[in-house]
Amino acid sequence: MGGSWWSARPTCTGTMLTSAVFTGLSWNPVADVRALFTYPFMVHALAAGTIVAVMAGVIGWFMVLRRQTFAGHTLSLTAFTGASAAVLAGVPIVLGYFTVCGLGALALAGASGPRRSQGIESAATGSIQAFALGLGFLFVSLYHGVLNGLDSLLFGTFLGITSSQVLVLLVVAAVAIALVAVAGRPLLFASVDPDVARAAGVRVQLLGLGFLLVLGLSVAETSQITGALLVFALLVTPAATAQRLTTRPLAGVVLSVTLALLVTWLGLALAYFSVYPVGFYITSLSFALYVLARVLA
Amino acid sequence: MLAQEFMRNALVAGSFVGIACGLVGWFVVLRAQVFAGDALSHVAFTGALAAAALGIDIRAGLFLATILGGVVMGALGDRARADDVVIGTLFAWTLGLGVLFLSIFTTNGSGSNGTAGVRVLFGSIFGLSTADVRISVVLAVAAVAVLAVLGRPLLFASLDGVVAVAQGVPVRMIGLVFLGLVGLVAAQATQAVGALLLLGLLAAPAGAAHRLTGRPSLGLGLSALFALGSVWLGLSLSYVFPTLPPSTMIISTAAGIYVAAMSFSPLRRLVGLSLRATRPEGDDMPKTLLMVGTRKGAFLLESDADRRDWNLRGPYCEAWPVYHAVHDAVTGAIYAAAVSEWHGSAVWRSNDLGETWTHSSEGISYGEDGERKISKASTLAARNGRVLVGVEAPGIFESKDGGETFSLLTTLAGQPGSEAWDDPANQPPGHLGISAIAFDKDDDARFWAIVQGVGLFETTDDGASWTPRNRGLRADWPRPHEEVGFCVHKVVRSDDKRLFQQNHVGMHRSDDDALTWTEITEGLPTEFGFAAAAHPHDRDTFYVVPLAPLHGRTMPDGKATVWQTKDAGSSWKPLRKGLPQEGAHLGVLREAMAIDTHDVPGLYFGTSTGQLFASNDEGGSWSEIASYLPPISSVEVAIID
Repeated sequence: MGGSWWSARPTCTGTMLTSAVFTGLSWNPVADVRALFTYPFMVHALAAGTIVAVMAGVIGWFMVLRRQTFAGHTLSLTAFTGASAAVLAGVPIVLGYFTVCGLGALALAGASGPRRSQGIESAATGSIQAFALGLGFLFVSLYHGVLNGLDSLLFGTFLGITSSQVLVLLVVAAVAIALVAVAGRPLLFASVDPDVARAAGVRVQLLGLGFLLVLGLSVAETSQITGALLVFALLVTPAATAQRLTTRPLAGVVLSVTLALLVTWLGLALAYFSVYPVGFYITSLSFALYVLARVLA
Repeated sequence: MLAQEFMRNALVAGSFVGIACGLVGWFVVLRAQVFAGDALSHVAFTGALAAAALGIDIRAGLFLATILGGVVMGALGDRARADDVVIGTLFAWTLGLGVLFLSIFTTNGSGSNGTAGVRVLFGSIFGLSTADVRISVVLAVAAVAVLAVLGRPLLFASLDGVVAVAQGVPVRMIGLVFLGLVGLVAAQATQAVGALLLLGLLAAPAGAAHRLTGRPSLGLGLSALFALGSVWLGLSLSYVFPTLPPSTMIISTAAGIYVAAMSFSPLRRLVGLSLRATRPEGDDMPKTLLMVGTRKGAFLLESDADRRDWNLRGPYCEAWPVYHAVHDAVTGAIYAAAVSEWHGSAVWRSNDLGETWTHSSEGISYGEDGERKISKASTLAARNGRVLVGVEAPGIFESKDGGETFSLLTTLAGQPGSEAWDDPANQPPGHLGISAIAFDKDDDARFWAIVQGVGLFETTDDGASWTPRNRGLRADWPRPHEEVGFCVHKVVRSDDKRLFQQNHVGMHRSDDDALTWTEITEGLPTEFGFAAAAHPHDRDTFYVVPLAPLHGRTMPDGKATVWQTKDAGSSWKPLRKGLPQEGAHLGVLREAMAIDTHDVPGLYFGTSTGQLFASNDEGGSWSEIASYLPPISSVEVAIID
């Protein structure tokens, strides 16, 4: 690819801060939207972004409900480790993402033993996170000359997504959402009041582990688009916004998905027409929505 | 290795970074603010890159951003601590900004593509100049100095914020300054191990220390030591194997120490052993002490702050029936109200946690010729060196000399209902006595007393005058007086204004210092019960043991259960984990439940068939810590420093 990793358009060259931020916008919305779909890479990016947004919206809603944002963030960083390990080993990156995120989920579940003090538990989560990142950095430095690769692992790229990758994304998202749909009711119960749920015979511990695994799965998937550092934004912010606006579960999940889709599409489009990275747009848009929701609600 | 200047610089700077991270990290873990530390590490990334993009010194951006970030999170107040969603949302955006700055910086063409970003993310400890080293030494010393000044109030505020506020400690301000300090240390550590990895240096050594010991001074020392060890070992490994990046090696060592602390219980025992070796007796480990009054003497059980393993001692008080045993936190004395068939009522006391005991009944008498007789010293309350003894027939005696001699304080003369309890015909043993005395939180002259079968009374002038406090209570029987005639079983206080009451026909709550009562029985299996306890740190949380009414007075359906409310009685939840659920027809008497004041309070109850159950997690799970004691009439708990 011709340009730098952070830029949406392969032909775009570096510009100064003061120069035009948005290039190629024609002020004709129809033409602009059509322009978005001109290149196959952009069509793939939009398809992948849509799949990822739907899944992040659903899983993220439960993550926020369960107050597992720290765990979610840690898992999202293990995605980086997975990707760098895969690059080093020469296996497909997807494999690295899923394996290491799964392992990360297991480690987190192990660290958060039943009724451990909050401080110590979060210390365990923090240690796992830093260790995973350290390993990732090790893998990257063992694999020489991949600084560009490092940045895109961390901050994401939606260039060069192939149609087969889109297919993999679709399958994984379908599995993850199906799992949550099946376990939704007891999971909701166990998340809202674990003690009563346990007393009512719900297998809270098992559900917790299962949810962490699904979270790992979706993080692994989302990282491929947003990068390990920004996956968190798509998981947490739309869900947090939705939960500020409604406490009803179904409406909340739908709203969370809608917001995730909105910021992803807008972010991709903005990045396409500008020189700044998609991650910046997605995080900023979703944060703006969150602030708006806080002010309104 | 030391011949190389870059290595010397790395070791010196790394050591100081390590010590600062270890010490500050210990408090971060204690305050459960690891996630805030995580957020700060990302703020560090963004701050550094913003400076790079603007073309100013990276360090300026780094320190400005993290310290500011810490203070902002602190300013969000309690929310910065509890609401991790807010932190998460904020720092997801911060990261997005960081990416923007990175792209601006790299497109501006200053520096090779992405190197600055990688340096900020993963550190460059081998690239530190002598000036850099000097800065990190100065900063580390400053951070440790701030901690030294702040340490004691910070510890207090972290362990028990509510009490600290009450004592006039500026808890919010301290929290603010502390997060600013975390920001400073984070910025300093970013230069050594990078923004992404500094969390490991904050969390892992401190987490390991917290797992090994609950004692602050030892924990802080261990935490700093672990962090220092991680830096040294990590740097050496990286020096020997140049392909291994130093920051990874440092964090891996720290994580390794954490795993070792978690899984290597022999290590834990070793630390425990060396502790015991250096501090033979009377070590300053806080002990949790249970005082159990039984039909055959008093028993003591001791444990550490974990409250897992208990040591049983006794019986004491020559195996007299003990109705109530309490601890005076100020004098350290244990008192036990006992009644022997031969010697009558007396108060036993021990000033050495049960090693030696003496007893006295001097002055506990209504006189030889009077019509009132003392059949039982039934309840005790000890505070600031003074002991109050509630007896039957109703009266309260006090001792101001640590239980040597007693004198009559009050008989609640003239109160509605007193004509009945003063009548000798109504004074066979086991009828109308003072069954409980509860002090006000601050005022020694103000306390409440229960007269069995009559109701609750309050005095604000040390027993000189009394007022009935039963408004809003229910009774299913005819009452001759408007103000009294209620069967109050147990009253406990949760904070300044709030009390809970279990009586014969329901649970009640008062939010105005017992002036009026509201029933909160709904949701409980029965309205009857004796024992109750209020959470020491949460005014809405409260525990009760409902019993089947009528004459059985045991737990309904033979399932041992403690019920908990977390919303001041709006809803109730059964706590059963670890308690027998079949054929357990257990009774729990009035004073036979207690709660301690640890961070996560422990809950205890004893049965009238001699089993003692304990929970070290607010009732979440239980274990039987004594099985074959005589019938238990009282359980009290104290934390001994």
